[in-house]
Amino acid sequence: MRRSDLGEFEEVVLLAVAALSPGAYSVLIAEELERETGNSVSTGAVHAALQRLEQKGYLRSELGEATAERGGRRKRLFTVTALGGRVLSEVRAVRNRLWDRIIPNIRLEWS
Amino acid sequence: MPNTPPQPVGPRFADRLLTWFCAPHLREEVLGDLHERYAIRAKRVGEARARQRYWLDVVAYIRPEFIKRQPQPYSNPKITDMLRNYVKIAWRNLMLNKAFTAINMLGLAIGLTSFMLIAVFVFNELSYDQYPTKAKNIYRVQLSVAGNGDVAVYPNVDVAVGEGIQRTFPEVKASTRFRPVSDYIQYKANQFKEAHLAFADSNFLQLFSIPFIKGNAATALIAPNSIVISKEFARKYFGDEDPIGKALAVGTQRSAFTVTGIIDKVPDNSHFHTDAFLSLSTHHIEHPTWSNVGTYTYLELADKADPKKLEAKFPQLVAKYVVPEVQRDMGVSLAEAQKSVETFRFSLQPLTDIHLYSNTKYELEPNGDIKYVYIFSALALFILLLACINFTNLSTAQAAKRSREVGIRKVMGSIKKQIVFQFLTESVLLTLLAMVCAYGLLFLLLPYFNQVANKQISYSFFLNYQAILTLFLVSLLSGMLAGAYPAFFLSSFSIIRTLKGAFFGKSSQKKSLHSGLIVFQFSISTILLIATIVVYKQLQYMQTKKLGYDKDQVIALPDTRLLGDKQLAFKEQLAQNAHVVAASLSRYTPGGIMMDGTQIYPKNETGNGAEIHTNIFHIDYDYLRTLGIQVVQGRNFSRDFPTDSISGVLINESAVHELGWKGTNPIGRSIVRSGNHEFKVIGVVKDFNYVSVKQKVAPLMLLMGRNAGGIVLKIKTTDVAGFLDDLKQQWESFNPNGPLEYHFLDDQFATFYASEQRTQQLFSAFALLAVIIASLGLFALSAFVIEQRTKEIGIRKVMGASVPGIVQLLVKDFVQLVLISVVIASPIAWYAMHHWLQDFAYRIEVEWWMFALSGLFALTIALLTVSFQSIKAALVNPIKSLRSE
Repeated sequence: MRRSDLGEFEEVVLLAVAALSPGAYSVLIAEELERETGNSVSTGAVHAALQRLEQKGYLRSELGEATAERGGRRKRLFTVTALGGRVLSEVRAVRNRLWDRIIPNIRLEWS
Repeated sequence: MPNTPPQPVGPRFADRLLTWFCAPHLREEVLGDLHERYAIRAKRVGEARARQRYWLDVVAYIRPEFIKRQPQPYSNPKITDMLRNYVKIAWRNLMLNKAFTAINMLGLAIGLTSFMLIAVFVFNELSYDQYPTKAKNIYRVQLSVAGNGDVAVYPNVDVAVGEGIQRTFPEVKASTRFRPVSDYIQYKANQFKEAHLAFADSNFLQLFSIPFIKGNAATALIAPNSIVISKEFARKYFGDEDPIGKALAVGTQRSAFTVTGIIDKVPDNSHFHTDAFLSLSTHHIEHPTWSNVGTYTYLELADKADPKKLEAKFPQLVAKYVVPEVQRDMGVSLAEAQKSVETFRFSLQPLTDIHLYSNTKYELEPNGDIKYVYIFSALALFILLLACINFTNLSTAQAAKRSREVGIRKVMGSIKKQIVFQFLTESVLLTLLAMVCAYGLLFLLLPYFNQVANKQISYSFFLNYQAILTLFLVSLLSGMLAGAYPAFFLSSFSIIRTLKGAFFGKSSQKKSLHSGLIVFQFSISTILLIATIVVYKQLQYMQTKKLGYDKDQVIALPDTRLLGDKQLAFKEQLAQNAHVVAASLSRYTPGGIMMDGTQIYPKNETGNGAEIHTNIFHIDYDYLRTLGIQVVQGRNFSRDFPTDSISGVLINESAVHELGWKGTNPIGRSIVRSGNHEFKVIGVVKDFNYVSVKQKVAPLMLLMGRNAGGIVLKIKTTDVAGFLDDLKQQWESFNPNGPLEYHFLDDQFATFYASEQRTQQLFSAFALLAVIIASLGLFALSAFVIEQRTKEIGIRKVMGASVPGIVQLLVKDFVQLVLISVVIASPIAWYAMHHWLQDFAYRIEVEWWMFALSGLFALTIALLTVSFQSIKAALVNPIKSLRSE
């Protein structure tokens, strides 16, 4: 498994699915990301990322229930697979190791 | 949640767009997401903002992941597979009924060919004078003068008008003048009389975008004595020499004109066709005038100028320039001059309208007529319609045969749309085959068409992609038109009934449709037949009408001015010739192009009468005798009265009438013409048609002529060829300045009616085509109907019916229909032809026998087509017909 498999946006979306599970789906994720980042996020972008992640086997999906806001249309709910979970923790481990090597006084100089 | 209030819905169109591009298996979740997000946003930031975001969100879905369709597990026949099947079945069906197919195809091919030919004719007529780059901004200045009870319109004005208008009104960017002439041109040994020369201003060629081969369009005609010639013209005089800089001798004076440019030629679709342009600067005019006519003047207006507004400003020019001139010329007071120019109006004629809308007496060339464009367009459509009707009629007649096929198709799962499409394929395929035939016919008929319509249309016109595309579209459309009714009719059968064979029970509706269509076809044919007869009779009437003079055996020599002073001697010598009945020295012949005109008014005891326009012929003592013109009152010019040649005048009956002298004795009264010349009337001649019979005889005055320039001869009928040889020899013996020109008056007369002759030929041709198409349809339909009744005929014969009885039975229906058509056609034809005849001053009446004759003709054709089939059917041995099937 190579790092390049997971783009930055994909990683965030994958994380969001994990955080919102169960019941993570594109609208919820997009709203969540918008709130967290302050940038506007379209469902199209999220949906595309979800599809890619599903193709790579990090996510699994099923059709959920319909609501009135959706005009009676069903939503596609996503859950993280075991593989997806492993990838997430690996990515996190890499990051943590790197964070840990930063000397605290350098961190101070940024502000 | 059954009771939630209706949720706000996003932009409809965005949804439609998304549904269109988004792959079907993703549509549900994507649309759902969008709507849910919209609802959230609408609550948070309001509907307007939410709608904006909605669009952005929809756009964000435009990516391959969402557009790409999911592969389907089932076989997915391509649309072409079904199409191929349709074509195959259609082809088989067409081949199954070869006779019907042939008849339909022939009819459609004829229809399409006539349509194309007429379309080309119309296209060509509409393209006239579109070639100058500024065509839309060019206008011709016209002059209209009311008098003699109607308005005389001149397409030309006086020499000063163009420049005067340009100087006064800034919206006029340019003005240019054009004066057509006809004269002798000589280069070394080559001398010809050129009929299409013109003096033109230096900016004329550039304004009209005449394509130059050599020389500069802007400067070629600036210098006096310059001439610009066409390629053809250059070859005629110079052969392979380079004409630039060489001198041509023009006219009897042999003035030298230097060739400064060569043009390709004036485009065919132009309202003038000049072979050589001479610089108008050659003639220096000291005092240009405003009140005469004869100079064709064109203006170029600025892009935004309104010609109507400009026209409205012209009266100020009339007051400023024309009034003083009239005052001086006629020797009248200011008030009288102002009164006499009251109806004197300059107007503007758009260049592109000249060919189709302008119909003055003095056009440069005979123009077209928008009426004929409409008439022929309608004809083209009707003929195509007739051919389509044949198909409709035959297909519905065959419905019984095809109904089982439709039934089976429906049982196998065909839906109505597919059956309609199947039948439409059949008719479109047929029209496309007909289109191929039409192309063949087109190439065969084009030379004749060009001759009849007087056009130069080349084959290549039909080979460019626009023409092919047009024909293809027309074929496709007519195929659909022809196939539409049968397709919907056949596909509407109910399965059970068609398979049971119960179809035949309810055919009254179908029969009335057939009858209606046949009546329509024959009505059109009959109308065309009547039109043909009327046009033919009118033409014959004009050609044989008593003209008031004797046109037979009269020779006109238009250019005896080449003899100079020896003209009179030549005439006297000819008068002595045993073959010559009479000879007269005059350039003016009835139907000729030479004609002068002036304004005159009668001088009465109680003041002057109203001014009228009159034409002038300059003649000599022998003129009336030579042309057999009768004097009804007074006397001819006579050598016994020396004053005749100075102040004597002969006028025609029409002039007497217009001058207001009707019922009084005009002999000895005086008329005054412009320039204050006074003439005494010595005689009145009977009206003779000195212009085309299309126009009423207008007032004419005959004056004793000075330096005549032409000779008119009345000769005996014997040995004309010998006399002509003799004439040439005598001409040569006088050492003339150029070759002898002569023509017979009756030949020239015939050219008057060229356009009517063309109309007549075209009408005859289209009438013939319409009749052919209609009878083809009738032939096939009757064949079919009779085939259906084979058993009935057999049984009738067994029961003792006679052959004539059966024939009568079969023919009766069709004859009735044709009779109805004649009844419908007659009033329409009467109305149309009555209108057409109004254009002629001397015209025939539409008479009942014309309707009877056309009706009889239509009936005969119908009888012949139907009875052939009927007699064949009636003669068949009943054993055979009863055994059939």
